[in-house]
Amino acid sequence: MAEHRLGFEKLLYYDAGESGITVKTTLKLSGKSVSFQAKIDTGSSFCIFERKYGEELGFEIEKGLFQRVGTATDVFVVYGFRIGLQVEDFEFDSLVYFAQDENFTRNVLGRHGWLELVKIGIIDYEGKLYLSRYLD
Amino acid sequence: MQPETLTEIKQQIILLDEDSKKDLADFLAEELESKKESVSLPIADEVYKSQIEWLKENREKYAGKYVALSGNELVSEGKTLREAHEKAKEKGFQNPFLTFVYSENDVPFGGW
Repeated sequence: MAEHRLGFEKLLYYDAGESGITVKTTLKLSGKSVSFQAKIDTGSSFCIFERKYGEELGFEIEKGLFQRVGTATDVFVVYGFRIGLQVEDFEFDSLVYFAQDENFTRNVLGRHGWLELVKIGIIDYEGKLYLSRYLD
Repeated sequence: MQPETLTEIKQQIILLDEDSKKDLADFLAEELESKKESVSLPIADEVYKSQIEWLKENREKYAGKYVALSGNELVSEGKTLREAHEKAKEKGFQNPFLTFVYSENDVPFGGW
């Protein structure tokens, strides 16, 4: 059987007892920053965060890039902004989205804007998350 | 500043005691940090805004593709992130802003 090996810069431990794989996430803009816990979601097309975090950074949410987003049961509206996105020690200039609905309380790191910019390995049984910036 | 003046300053610094050198190092670090905050961040902010405006104006033309932007100028496009990035690098842009473009009518999957 062929053996495949990957190398990573960081090994992070997450609480395997929590719902989802949760990591510390920081959004940065013009000297302001806001930090919270977000879940890694390979099924999400992009990164979506609560409205209040965008507002804390000074964004007028409805002035962002309009997009409808679908889930298994619902469609909701988000607005995109360019921002500094830091997950653990890795920072990226990304396009992320904030929910229009202030009652939306999920924060997810999805494919566009984050997953496509990293190398990632997960051993969920042990609560281990291996992470590197993807460098071409 | 004239190169001679800088050389004179450096020569005087060499004569300082260790505590004074540390004070000076802290002063210079604070100076550089304050310049960074007052100059570079607003520029980045403006670039970010202009890129969102570019996406609003051009999303239907490039929907379904990745684009690379430098400032608010299109550098390259591609079917994949790698393709768009490679094309940008060939044109001399090592770190453009790369993003996938959705049509306003798309309803991409939000996960969970």
